[in-house]
Amino acid sequence: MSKPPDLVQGTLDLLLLKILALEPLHGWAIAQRLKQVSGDELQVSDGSLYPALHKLELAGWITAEWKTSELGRRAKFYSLTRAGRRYLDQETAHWQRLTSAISRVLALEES
Amino acid sequence: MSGTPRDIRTTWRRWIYAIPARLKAIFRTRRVEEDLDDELAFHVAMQTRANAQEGMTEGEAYRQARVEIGGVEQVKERSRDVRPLRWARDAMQDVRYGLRGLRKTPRFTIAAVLTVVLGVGANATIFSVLNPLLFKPLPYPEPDRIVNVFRTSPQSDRWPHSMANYLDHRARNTVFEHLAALMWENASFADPGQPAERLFELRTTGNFFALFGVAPLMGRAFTDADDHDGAEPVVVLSYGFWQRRFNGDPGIVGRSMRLDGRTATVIGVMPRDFEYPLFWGSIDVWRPFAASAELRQNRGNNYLREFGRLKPGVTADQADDVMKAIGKQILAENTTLDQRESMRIESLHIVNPAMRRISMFAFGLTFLVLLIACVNLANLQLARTAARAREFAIRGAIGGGKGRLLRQSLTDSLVLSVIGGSIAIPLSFWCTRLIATQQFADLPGVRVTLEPITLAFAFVCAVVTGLIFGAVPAWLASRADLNDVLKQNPQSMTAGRGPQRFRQGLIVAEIAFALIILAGAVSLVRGLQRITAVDPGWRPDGVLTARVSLDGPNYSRLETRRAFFETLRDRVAELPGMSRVAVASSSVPTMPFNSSTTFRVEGREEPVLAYNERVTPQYFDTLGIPLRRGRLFTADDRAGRTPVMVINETMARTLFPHDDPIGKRIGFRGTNPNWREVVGVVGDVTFPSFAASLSVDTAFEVYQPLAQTVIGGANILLRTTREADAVASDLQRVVATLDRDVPVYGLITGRAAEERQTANLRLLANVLGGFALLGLVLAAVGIFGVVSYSTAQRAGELGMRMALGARQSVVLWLVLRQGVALTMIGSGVGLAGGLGLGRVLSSVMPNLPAPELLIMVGAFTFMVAVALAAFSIPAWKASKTNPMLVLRHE
Repeated sequence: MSKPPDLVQGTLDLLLLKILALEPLHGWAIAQRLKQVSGDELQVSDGSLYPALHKLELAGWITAEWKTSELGRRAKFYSLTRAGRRYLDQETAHWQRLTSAISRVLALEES
Repeated sequence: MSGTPRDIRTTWRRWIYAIPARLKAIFRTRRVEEDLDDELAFHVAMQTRANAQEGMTEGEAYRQARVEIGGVEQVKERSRDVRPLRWARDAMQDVRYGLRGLRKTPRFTIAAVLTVVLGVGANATIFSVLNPLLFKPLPYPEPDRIVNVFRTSPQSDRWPHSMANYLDHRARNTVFEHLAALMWENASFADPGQPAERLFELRTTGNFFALFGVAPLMGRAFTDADDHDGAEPVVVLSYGFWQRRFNGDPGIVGRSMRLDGRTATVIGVMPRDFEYPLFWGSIDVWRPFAASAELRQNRGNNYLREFGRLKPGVTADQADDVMKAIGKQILAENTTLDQRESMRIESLHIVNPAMRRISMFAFGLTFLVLLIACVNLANLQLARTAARAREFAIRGAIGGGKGRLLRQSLTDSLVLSVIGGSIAIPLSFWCTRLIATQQFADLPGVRVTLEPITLAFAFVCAVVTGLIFGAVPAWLASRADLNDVLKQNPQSMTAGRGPQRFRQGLIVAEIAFALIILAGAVSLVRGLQRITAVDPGWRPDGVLTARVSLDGPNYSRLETRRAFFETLRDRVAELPGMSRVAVASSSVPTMPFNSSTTFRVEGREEPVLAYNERVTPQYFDTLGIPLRRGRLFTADDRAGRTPVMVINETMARTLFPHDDPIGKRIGFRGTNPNWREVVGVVGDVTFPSFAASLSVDTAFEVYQPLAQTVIGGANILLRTTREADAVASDLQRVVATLDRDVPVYGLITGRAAEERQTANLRLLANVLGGFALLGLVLAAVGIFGVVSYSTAQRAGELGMRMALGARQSVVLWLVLRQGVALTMIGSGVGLAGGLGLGRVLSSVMPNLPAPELLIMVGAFTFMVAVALAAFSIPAWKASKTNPMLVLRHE
């Protein structure tokens, strides 16, 4: 299946976990938060969001619950599980190691 | 799943959530789908509201929301993709969908299923029949280490050995763990107070059981310690004999049996599988040779088959070199032996190499039938895919992935294959049973059964067929342009240049394959017919024969045996209704005579190999072999008189092209030739060479008077007007009055003996004929189906042409033109293939007459006629259509 464009593989998962680490949200709110935080730098289509969420849910990193939303309609709220929080920590650390390593390489000056 | 868990603790904890989520996804699909609907609807609603707040109109806000999400149905599809067991759910759905589709197109379904049934059924059946003969190893440990050791000469490469040579081979070779020798024998078994019974036995060297490496079921097997002159006589029983004759008596070991008038102790019983009658023939008992010192030095009588078990790591080629070298040594030491002889190792197979080649050939033809079936199915599927183009395009447009659509096509094909296969398997089970009971009934132990391996084979055939004929059309369909198709142009998928070429290619292939099968089968069947139709040189009708064995010490003297046979002949001649009675060393000549000998002609250097048959004077009259020159034997050709012989026409013509053969002298090799005078020339007796292991040693036949020669067992031959059954009991009675220890067996009419020999040939001919017909029918059905379809597709165009005034004949020609071209190309390819096949055939079966040009031309014409008929019926139908109907439909 096609991956969201311009996103390193797996990073969408990381972003979603991070957003959900702050508070439980439904899909639309997650999409809003994603746009709000990352601006136009990261283009995530709304369509890619749901398959990614469902994948994380099936992996047990997040869990979902139907609750009444601000519109008065039932909405599916996602929240991080304990395993998901630990996984996020690991992945964050991993990501940071990776990016700092890449940054160091890119900082090399031509002699 | 996502990421690589780096911590064990996190891994197990997530399952608390993951397992319920997955179970729900698998088992509560409807609920999950509803949730998905709700979730996306909620998203769209929220986004619509947000868009409206930004000032969009209500409709625009909603539309934009749906666009932003990237298509609701597409999102659903992608979400379904991440769920577990996606493939299984899809497959179930595909199968349901496929079945529904098949129900809707019954004519296609029937044609396709029938094609699978015929193609797979034929293959499974022929595989069942040939599997035990071709592919199964012998049921002994490490069977690939067991080999045949043959002696070769310019006449044959499968000669047996003499005892002295065998002992030398055994002592000198370095390559065999065991080298055993054996011969097929008959033993007479007489329990006190019971009529004598003839047993089939193998006389073997002591290491026989060690070589084949199977432990006895009870007691012990004999060893080298039991195999020497003067050893206590022992016998090992086969499982079948033990069951049949002793009802599986558990106390049999240690009992004694009267065999050939002597007592032998039963020391063991072999397990049931050891017998393997397919290879050995039916065997009742095994006995060691216990060869006398005199026999051990005999280098002149060759009657031993040698089997060797290679030492670990030794290859058959190495053994071949070693045995050739040993053979050369022995020849150098024994100058009286034919110096042109050599040795040869042949790996052990159940059937001889020639029969193996023929069976492989038949197998190849069946495979070709399967190939035609595949082509047919591909064609049918192609037509169907075209008809479903719109459906596929629509499914693609509303979010069905291309992969998914491809899979639907494959699933359809597999569903067809499985349906066809599940009909084909019981059908081939039934056919196999029929062949087993009809054709192999009197071949003991040939267990032609449908085994798991065959079922697996049939199933693989069905599935592979399905994949082949499903994949190509599906691939073509997946390439089609969705827009094109949706723009009301359903033909675009298969009427495009590529697919059309492909379809034409299939038709050409179909015609070519069918012609190749037809040509192959027809030349083989014709060849077989010519072999069976050969004048045998004797008249089988009214002839009866039975075998009488004189075994054991009571008959060790030649004079006793001779006297017995002469008395027997006279007594039988006194029975009512006997017009001629003879005794001979071989049975009726439906198989080559039992022995052949290397003779030497006075005044000629090179030795001459000829069949050596020993007969009483009335032999020629009994069988109806005509005298050509000189005289037949008389009662005066006795021991002590001038030794005489009668030779056949071919031998006389070849050896004495210019002289009168009568009076010439022919003797034996070695220091004392024992010259015999030729007194008569008789007509040739022709053996059905094909049936008899495909090799006839020589076309020369020598007959000697029984009264002047050596003879062991013999056959009584009679010409009578009486029924076989009545004669049988008379014969038993006559023999019993002479000696109750002597068994009479194998009574058969000349006609039945001949039919038995040609039974395999007739089976082969029937099977091949059946395949040719099957291939032809499949090809014709295929061509017909495809042409009907493509003509139907052009109905609009043709109707238009007719509406504009085109004559019927013009339209007919328009459709036919392409058919003629395709038929010609296909037949040309097929003809070339058929000629190539003829080459293969004549290299596989050198005895088979070469395929006749006439046959090829006939097959070609026939195929062209069938193909053109298949083309013209739909063409004619198209030209008959009412143009108004077509146009209105359009």
